[in-house]
Amino acid sequence: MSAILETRDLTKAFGGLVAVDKVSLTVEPGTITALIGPNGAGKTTFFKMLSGEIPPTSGEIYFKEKDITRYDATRTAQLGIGKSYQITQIFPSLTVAENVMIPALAARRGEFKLDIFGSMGRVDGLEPLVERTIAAVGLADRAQFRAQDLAYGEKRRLEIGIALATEPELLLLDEPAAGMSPSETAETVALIKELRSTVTIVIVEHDMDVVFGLADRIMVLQDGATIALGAPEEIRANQRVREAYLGGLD
Amino acid sequence: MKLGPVGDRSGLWVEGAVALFLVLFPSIFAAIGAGTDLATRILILGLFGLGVDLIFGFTGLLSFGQAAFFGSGGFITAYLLIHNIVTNSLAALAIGTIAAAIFGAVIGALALRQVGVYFAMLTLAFGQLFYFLDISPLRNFTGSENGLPGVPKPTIPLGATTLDFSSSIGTYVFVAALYFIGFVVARRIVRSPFGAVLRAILENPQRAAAVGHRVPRYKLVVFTIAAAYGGLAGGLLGMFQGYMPPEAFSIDQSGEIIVMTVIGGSGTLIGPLVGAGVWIYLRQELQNIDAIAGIWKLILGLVFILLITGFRRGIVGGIMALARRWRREG
Repeated sequence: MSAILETRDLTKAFGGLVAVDKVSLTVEPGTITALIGPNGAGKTTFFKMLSGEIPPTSGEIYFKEKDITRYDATRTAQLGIGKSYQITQIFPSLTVAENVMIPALAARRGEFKLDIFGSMGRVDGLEPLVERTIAAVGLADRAQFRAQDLAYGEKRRLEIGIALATEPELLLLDEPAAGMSPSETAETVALIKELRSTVTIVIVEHDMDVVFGLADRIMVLQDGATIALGAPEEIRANQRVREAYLGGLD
Repeated sequence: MKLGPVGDRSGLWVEGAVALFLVLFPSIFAAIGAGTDLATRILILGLFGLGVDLIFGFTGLLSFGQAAFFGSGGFITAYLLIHNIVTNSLAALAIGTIAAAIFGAVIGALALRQVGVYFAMLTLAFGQLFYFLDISPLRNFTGSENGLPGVPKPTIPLGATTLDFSSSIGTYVFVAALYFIGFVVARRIVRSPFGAVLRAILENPQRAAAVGHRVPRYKLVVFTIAAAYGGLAGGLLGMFQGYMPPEAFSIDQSGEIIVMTVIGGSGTLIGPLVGAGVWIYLRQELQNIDAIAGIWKLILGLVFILLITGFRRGIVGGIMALARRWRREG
């Protein structure tokens, strides 16, 4: 099968600082790929280039063989790349259902529509998408709660729900388990395992139990460059990775 | 699950309540000794404020240049009627409104390249530019500091007969009908999927864009709609006063409409009307009390500060919060 996502020598320099240095990655459909590396390795910068939030300095990004290097965040979302953020980015005073409805409207109406006299009922397939998404992230009983009133773990699940409601083919998860208790982390891992049957996932995560429990492939970044790329057992055995990163954890 | 409009769970009774209020408003004002003309002026500003609420209360765009649209719609409508280029009041209003919307689209396309305080400063600059154009280069059309006197009262030709709205109550009815249409349209907009995207932009513009909404286009369209509301209200002001004042273009006018919207409660649509009512009524009454005639502005300012600190979401927002609490406890 052909790759759903491919980067070729993707590079981002901020002035003299090279945050991401010629990173090439190929992601097969239906897989979970994890990005790991110490703080400042360039994981989030790499993610932001994939989602179109910052433009690359050089290199290319292909999504389903289409060149999306110069796409902005709105276009990548419309194309089928969903992302959830390390720092929760919700719509605080809207309800959970409304929070999920906003991305669902983008998926169902496109990037712009002048339906100033339209109604929600007339947006094709909106309701099932919202219901399905809320159920998938386990917030059905919280649907009418304001997002700002949710517990932290629930907010994190809503964060993933907002990304899911864009109906992505590729889901970018930036530290979905950040700041979670062990039981919340376990729930999040279970959620991501369920998602893998419907969507390809690329995940940035610091929790090694989460990474090795989920990933089919792991890419290790250090100082912006790839130092290892392979299956979890290869990464575990890799001497360079052990020195650079995993060693401290043993 | 039934999905309704975002952030607004009230039914169509709101439109009914507004219609009932518009019918009773002159009598209410008569009962407290205020005239019908004051009520008409409040409705005109309430209509202007509907547009301000759409951009500020629902989308989070703070513009200090809305007088540009109030003035340009007003002067174009007045000029057409005074010079008999157009005799039908509604047609003249429509042209003034469309012209203001076009100015809104152009200014919006330029100012919306910036966000936050930089956007606000750009709108302020455009507002001042329009004021200057009105006073100096376009003086032959606008009458400069004198404004345009002799704007005819509203009439609608209907075949053989003509509907005449020239009496005080007639003008009120004409303005109230247009206010009601403006209110219904604004509420349809905020309850639509388009309106849901506006709310998302207000709450978190980065995320709204990141999930796939073309945020700048939504902002431009709502800014253009707000300019149209300003233009329509400006046209009505000239007809109502029989005179189109240059102050319609002033920075005071831009500031005052924001103050009214905030006092009344932004993000509520009826907030600007309530704010205009309180503001204009108090201003009128305070000026008439001899003992405080000299310091009425000071008192009005104190009232403003009290209202903003007491009701942080405006009068209507405060009442809505009280009603919610009462419903939960009762």
